Amino acid sequence: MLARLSRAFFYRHPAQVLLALIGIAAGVAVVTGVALLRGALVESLDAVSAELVGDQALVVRHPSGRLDVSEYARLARQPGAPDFVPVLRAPVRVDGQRLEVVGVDPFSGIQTLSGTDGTGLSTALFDESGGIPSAVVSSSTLALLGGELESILSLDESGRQVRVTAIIRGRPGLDRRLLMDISRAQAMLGERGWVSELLAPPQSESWLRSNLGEELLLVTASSQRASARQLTAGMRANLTAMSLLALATGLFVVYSVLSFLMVQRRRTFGLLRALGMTHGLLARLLVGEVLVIAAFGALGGLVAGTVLSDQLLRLIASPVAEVYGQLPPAATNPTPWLYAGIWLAALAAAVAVTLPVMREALQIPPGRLVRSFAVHVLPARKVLVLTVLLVSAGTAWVALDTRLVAALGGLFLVLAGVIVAIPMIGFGLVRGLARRTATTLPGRALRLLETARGRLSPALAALSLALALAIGMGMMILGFRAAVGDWVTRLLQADMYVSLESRSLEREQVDRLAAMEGVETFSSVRRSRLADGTTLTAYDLPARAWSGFELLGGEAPDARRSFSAGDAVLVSEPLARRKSLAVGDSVELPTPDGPARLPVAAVFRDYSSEQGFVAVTGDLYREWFDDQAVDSIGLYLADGVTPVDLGRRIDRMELDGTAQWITPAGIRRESLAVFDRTFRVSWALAMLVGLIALVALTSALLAQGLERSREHATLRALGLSPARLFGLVTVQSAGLTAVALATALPLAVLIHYALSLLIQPRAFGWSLPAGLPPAEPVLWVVPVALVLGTLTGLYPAWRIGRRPMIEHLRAGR
Amino acid sequence: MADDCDDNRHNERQSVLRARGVTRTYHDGSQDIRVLDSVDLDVSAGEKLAITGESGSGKSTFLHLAAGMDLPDAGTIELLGEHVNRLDEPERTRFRARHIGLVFQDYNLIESLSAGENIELVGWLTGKPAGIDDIRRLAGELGIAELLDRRPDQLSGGQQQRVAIARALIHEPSLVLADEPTGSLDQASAEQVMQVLSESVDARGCALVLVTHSETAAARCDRRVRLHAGKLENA
Repeated sequence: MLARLSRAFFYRHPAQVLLALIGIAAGVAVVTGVALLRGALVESLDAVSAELVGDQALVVRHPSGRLDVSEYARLARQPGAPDFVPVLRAPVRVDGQRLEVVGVDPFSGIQTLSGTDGTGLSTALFDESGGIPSAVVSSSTLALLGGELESILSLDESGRQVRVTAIIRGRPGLDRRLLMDISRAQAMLGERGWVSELLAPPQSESWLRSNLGEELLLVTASSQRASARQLTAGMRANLTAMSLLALATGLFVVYSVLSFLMVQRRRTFGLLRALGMTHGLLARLLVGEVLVIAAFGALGGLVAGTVLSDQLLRLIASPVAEVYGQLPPAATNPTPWLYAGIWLAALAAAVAVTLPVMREALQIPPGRLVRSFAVHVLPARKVLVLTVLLVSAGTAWVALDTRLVAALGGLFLVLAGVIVAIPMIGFGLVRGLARRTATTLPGRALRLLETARGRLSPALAALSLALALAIGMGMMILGFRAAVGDWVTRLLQADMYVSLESRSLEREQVDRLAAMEGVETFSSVRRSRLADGTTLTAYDLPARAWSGFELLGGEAPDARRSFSAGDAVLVSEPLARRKSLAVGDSVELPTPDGPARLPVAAVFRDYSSEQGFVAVTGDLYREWFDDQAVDSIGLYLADGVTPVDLGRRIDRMELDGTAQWITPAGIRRESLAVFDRTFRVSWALAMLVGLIALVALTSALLAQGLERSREHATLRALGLSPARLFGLVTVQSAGLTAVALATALPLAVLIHYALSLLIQPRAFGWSLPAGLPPAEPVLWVVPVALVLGTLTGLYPAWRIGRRPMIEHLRAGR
Repeated sequence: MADDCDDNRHNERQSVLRARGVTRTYHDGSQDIRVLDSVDLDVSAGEKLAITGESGSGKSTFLHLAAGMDLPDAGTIELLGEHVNRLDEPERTRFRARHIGLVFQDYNLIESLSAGENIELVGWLTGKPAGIDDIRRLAGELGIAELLDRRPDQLSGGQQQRVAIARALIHEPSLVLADEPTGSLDQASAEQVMQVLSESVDARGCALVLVTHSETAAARCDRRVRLHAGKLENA
């Protein structure tokens, strides 16, 4: 009988049920999408070694990232040497997608890999039909590229091509990789005589430790993966925070919609109670309905979230490659456990948020066909106490705990505290506005909202939170963007920068470039990873390049003197934060000659890496590592020589590799483009949260309209025309949006500063220069929100306007 | 508006409401229910008419038709010489706001507005706002002068109905339509409300059509008719 009661109601109100389903599905979709994305960033980053040799594989590398083949031969010839797997890795682009060529020897000790059609790896890699080198790719990579077996893939714009000769499945670690025979890859990439790393079985660790020598690094595949995961920790934390906010907004929708469904049946519930339905039975009816709606809505959310996750993955694939140097998988990897967990959590959350609505329904006196529910509104004093408690707890957590989780948790608590107070503040504003415009339609419309405070409060809070999030995040992103732009401009003191595609510049090449006519002087940079995971950056800097460093700690002249003399190091801000380093502390660096301990001369601002790095002079680096190569050089040109002129001459040079040159303006443009791509996902999530909030507003207005149907009918009877009633409800919707905006603005500024001064430093290690928040997000969001908020009210207005007046004039209808 | 009422007083025999052959049928699934069947009725200016009848006899339906809130399937309704059923919806709404006062059984006050604002509401709807002095004077007449700042939920049923009567009269309508105005009140309150309503209507010379089950209430009217099975009978 309970099921029949619910079913009959659901069939009669398909639109409302649909709205509830959309609300739940939207919240669950965002959570699922981000959870899958997180999984992709956790499980599959830098898993190539693990896929080829196993999770516990050992990786031998040179700090420069390139290992001479003769060194490999020396090791392999030694007695007791393990079965090494030489690997060559090099980034390439195919159809705008960042991929990596992974060259392997199919006859070495790699795990068995075969194509979906059963083709063995060696057969596939040595298939030379057509004279084009062959490559094996994963099915999801091929789907990403829109190719198929036997497709010819063009690499970069260099005219190099590979042919897909086998497709592999179930190896997400090999996503975005073109698996090739190593000798063909070396030939194609101009890397003859070089490999990127040697893989070895785990049991060879003791042999490797005693035979590798000081120059080579030994890491495990799992620690390599762990450090790759660590790279994206900040990004994942931010994504999680956004998804939780989306879920919170989605739950507001659930509350609004279910209270709307409840309002429609107040009379039925009164009757059922009068006829003898117990509290328990009514509660079962309501919980059952919520569970059914939540179950189906969450299922829809899981499907939508899976689709969303692949879109989000596309959005972040480039930034992850550009910013972190990592290639995420081509597709997310959903598991039944993840789906089950989210689904059950959604059911629990839906029941939890609808408890207040159920309480209302259970309080209906038997037989009393109540006109409306008296939605409980917290008294002002309780609101203030709750707000103060939550804000204090959040602030204390942030102050006492320096971890990122504390910053996010503290921010959540502070936001929760403010949100509790938003309805009170918002409806205070509504009253004030109504008083000022008392005799006008807007004034009357807002006045009529007052009694609907309980019903509209959650929607107002949700909308305000979503708007604050969009504006606050926009302020942070634009503020950060400006800071990055200024930083790049300041950093790049040379007139142009030159590097080789996919490889380093050897000393001879550097000398030739530096000796070109019109070049006054040059700088160079060499980045390497040390055995302890520290990134070391070696700079050769002319005097005028020094002003590119913005020192956050340390005296410039002293720091420069001791750094240039090789007596001290500079430390980038993210590393200083991560390792709590300050000027005067010392840093120990593992070098082939043993650990080198040097004092920190200065901490400088840097947005190039979240992990941060230690900077030393090029001379010191070469003394330690005997590595003469550099990653790129900056050329300082004589007066009258333009980068374009010199660039043309460089293009004509024979440099044993494709030279790439770029001006500081170009780097700035590219950096900001990377920045914009990095934050696209944040914008996308903020927009989703905003859309969910608008669904909340629609459902709240419908609930309010239904609850006030008698008032609206009375107004109609007294002479309010349908058009004016339509206008009245639309004004209410616009008014609520305006009030949500008014309460959102201070909250947005709070979010901006919290993100800039707390979350960013703790998540990524960098701080942003203090200053007023940019106004642009306000200028974009305010008109858009007002228009959307007004449009959102149109449907409820239309529904309310066409209700039969007479039916609703009597109480209880 | 006051001029309208003065005219009414001077032309007592003038017809305010004229219904001819009014028929209204509701459709309930495959079944047609004829609620009103060729009803003819005249109400003169200043006249107080009580319509009685059993539940479901069509009393409220007639009132809704008379107010222009619903349209008959057949027949005509003239209000102050205007064929209401020939007007479109916005015109009927404007006409109702200007010339008719409505009193409901459940008061139908707007909960978010104070008693004074509820009374003031009609002036806003007609575009001719009543002055605060007019509102106070009328509230004084109805014994609710001290209650103007209170919200409906702070008033008793009788007080709420007085506010509703004030709302129906503030714009000096030619016709007041009251749908069981004492139906939700105890006997003492009901008598007080009827007395107030009757006296106020008399004082303004407005016509009153009162739908009621109450004999006492009907007794205060000049004339009574009875609706039975959709047909009008003289009581």
